[in-house]
Amino acid sequence: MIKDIDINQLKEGDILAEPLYNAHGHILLPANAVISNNCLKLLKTLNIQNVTIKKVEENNQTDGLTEEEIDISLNTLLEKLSWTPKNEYELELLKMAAIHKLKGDDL
Amino acid sequence: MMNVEKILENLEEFPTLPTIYSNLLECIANPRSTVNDVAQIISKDQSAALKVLKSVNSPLYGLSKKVETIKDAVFHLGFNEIKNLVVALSVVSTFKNIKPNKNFSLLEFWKHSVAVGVTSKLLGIACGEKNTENYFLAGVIYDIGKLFFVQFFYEEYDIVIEQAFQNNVELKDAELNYFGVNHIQIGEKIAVKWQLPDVFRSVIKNYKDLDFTNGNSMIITSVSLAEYIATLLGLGIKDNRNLYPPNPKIWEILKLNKGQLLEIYPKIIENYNQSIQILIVN
Repeated sequence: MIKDIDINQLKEGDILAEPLYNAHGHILLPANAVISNNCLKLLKTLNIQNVTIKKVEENNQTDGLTEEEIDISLNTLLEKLSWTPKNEYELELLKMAAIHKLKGDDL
Repeated sequence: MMNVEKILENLEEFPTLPTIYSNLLECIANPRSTVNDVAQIISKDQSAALKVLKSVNSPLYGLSKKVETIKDAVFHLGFNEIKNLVVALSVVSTFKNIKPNKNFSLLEFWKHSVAVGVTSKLLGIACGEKNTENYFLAGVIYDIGKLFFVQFFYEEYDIVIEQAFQNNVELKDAELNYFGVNHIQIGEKIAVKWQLPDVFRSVIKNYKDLDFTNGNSMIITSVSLAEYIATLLGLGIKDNRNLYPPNPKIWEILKLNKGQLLEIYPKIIENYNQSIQILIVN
């Protein structure tokens, strides 16, 4: 998945989906460049506003699964529990369990 | 209730760690010891050496290049982490031949413990802890006290587990009720018997109640959340019917960022699968 993000959301380890050009059309960074800490500083100094990145981590987690599938699995799990998530962390934990159930990759 | 003193006498008979561990302890305690000295001790035990090399090259240790020799492994991990890894390997192999029990599967127990070890370390790293050398071992042995009951009170323990499950009470409370002592208290005594640093006793004692009176809040909380995640995902133990919400103190201590738990998930599975291959299957 490719995503356009604000420079402030960019973090170390992100991978560029497209080459990044400066105002004169020169390539600053090629496609597939991995963002380092120095890159981050440089891009902010150059006043770059947006970049397009590959959402690799998200693909790893939900590999081959659709949002709908995950939602169905999550709802099934929620029905079985005697409590409902009260914060983002609890919801993330349950989403993790829902994804795990779908992938079934326990040995 | 049984006589607690009589029960505790069995601790004398509880297995000690193999000589490789005592040799390592002695060597590391000597300020003149070198990487070579430590590597030599590990290399003498071929099975341990092979497992150390495989483990060190697993993604859990995040080394940038493949480590080919024990000397390199010691050099990259440092004395304490390598010692902890040897303890983890030794503990699993020491208890490999324990009698199977109707309500207690040793294989599932170790799979669960390894999952807790792997996840604790990944959580420590995710929280920006610089020193996570104790996290894996702390997770692997957090529940070691249960093996004492399985080993010495085989039949009684089966009944206690069954009762705890049927009456929906925590196992530690059912144990206390029947034996007058529970696996947490026994686990602390085992950590002392094995001369493990105090942080391990502290984790065993406090991971459930999250008591930080003696410090170690990060490692205790990481093991606590790791145990929750391993149960939630059914890694090893498959029963999560009585799963309650996690202790909210966890989030205050770990201060995870949004999305971080989901980012860790694939790493947990990858490292769990690799670690059980190295520690349990082979």
